[in-house]
Amino acid sequence: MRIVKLVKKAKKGSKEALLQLISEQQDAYYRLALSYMGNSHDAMDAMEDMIVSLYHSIPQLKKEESFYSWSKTILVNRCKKLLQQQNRVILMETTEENSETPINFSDDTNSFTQAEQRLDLKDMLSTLNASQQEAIELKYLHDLDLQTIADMTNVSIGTVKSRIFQGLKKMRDQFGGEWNG
Amino acid sequence: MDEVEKYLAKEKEQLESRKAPEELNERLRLALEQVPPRRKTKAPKWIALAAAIMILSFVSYNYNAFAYYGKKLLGYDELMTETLAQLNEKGSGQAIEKKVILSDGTELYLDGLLTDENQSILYYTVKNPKGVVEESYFDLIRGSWTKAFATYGTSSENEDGTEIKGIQAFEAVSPFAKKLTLEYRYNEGTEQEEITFPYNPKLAMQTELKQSIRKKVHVDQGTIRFDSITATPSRTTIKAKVNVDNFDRIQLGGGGVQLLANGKPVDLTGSSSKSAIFGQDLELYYDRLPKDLDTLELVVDKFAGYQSLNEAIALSGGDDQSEEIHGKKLIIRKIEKGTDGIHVTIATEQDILLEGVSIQSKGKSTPLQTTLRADLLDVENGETYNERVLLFNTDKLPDTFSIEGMHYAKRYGERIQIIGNKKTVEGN
Repeated sequence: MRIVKLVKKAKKGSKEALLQLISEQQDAYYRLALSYMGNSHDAMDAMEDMIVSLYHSIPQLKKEESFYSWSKTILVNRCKKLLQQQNRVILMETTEENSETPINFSDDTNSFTQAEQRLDLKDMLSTLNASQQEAIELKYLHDLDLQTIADMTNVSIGTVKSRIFQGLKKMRDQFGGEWNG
Repeated sequence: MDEVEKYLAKEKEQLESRKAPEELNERLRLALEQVPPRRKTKAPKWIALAAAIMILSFVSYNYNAFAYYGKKLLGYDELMTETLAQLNEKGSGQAIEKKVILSDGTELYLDGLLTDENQSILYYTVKNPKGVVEESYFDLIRGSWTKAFATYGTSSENEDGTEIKGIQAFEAVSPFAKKLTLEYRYNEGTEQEEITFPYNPKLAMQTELKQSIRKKVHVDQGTIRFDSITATPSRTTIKAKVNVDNFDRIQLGGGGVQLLANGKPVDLTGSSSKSAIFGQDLELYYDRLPKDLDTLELVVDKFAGYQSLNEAIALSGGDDQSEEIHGKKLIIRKIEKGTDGIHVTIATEQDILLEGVSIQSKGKSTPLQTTLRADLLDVENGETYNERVLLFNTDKLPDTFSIEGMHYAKRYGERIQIIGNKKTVEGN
């Protein structure tokens, strides 16, 4: 497997291999960082921190094939640390508002309705507590598996499951009626 | 998929239209370029072997002090500490200049050996144009009166992975050995090569200071007896006997004992402990002592301590309940019912060990049955937490969590004068 080979090279100290690994999923990393940091500038800062940290700690990575979930966990940790340094309590809710580039509506529905719906989702998420919101965003918007989310948020899989379940339930309870009706 | 999930899926689609800015790649490259090349370190591989001979624990730090002789060695600069570099500069040590071709075509060069009463340091190079074999290591050096196990090592690899230069330390070799045999294991440890080379004990470096200490320090749960100090050009070793309950249970070892030369701390480079009759043998390794030595002092700054608590914590029932006990943080992560009983997950700083833990439900107390799991977790802000899953043999969810006491890294500040006239504080 190519990825495993690259990881092995990176473990031996190849910076080029590490860069290549990151660029393979560059957009996914960027989106993840963006969700936490809220703007492109800070997201890129977090990724810089991440790559330096990866370079130092990659020899400790036991399973080469889990490079991506491992490195994303590190990215999320860097993001949280940066946020902490900036004294920012807000977790993820500011993502889209603070974006520097306008959102590109590629959908065929008109942008007005889209914006409405987006607002709804934001509203819905904002009714949840920060950790439920985080778990749901990581799973549904970033496609991360439960184990990775558990690692990122420093809790057990059971807790992640329960946060997602409770979060979705709350969203359904509060908004489901309107939508289905 | 229900409505909520549909909305989330839509949101995801939107998010996916966001692409990383073009400059990102360049920024990452720049960030990486500014990082100095990483040193490759090898953990001591002899642990399994040593365990068989009753060694219970060994802590090794991969920065160290050693050197080499006969002539100045080239190409090891990146791996050497200052002490080592100075010895190399002076040409201390002896050249081996032996080359062995292994069964897979890899060439192993033994370049030089530096020995003294504290340790032996081997300089070696591994070359293979097809890429250097991973998972290879040195077991030991044997010879007359000599069975020196490998202790720690550090190595670095060139860009294309065809050459490794390394430094491997072993225990000291006997001054009676005229010939040494090195055991090298490679191909994921499945094959072994033995290399014999002549050794001249006269070229070993002279011991600079050797003295008995014979002083005791009392700590909460026992005593530490400092026995001797041996200082050589490559290292300073303090030998001690520790008779302290649960000394090994907190992750401190000898890390809190300082050696002050002329009032300044000498770098601690490692420590090891092994079980012995009535306690444990503890060895502390420091860097070389300064040339002009007026005072030499040992300070037991931090060591295993014990605090009796007898505290009962009311459980809130939620996840991640945070408590402060005797100034230390305790997080009760979660409490859940398992098929085998109640599982309580707690996290503390890593140098804390709780004792006499039990849970209570409606006045009925259940003691800890066993610990199912313990993991060290790096939390943000650089601290490492020890997370444990505790099992209690009951099916009732508890309302309180009780702790009788805790072992922790405690500040003592006890001083022992080895050289110099300052007042000595000691036990009896």
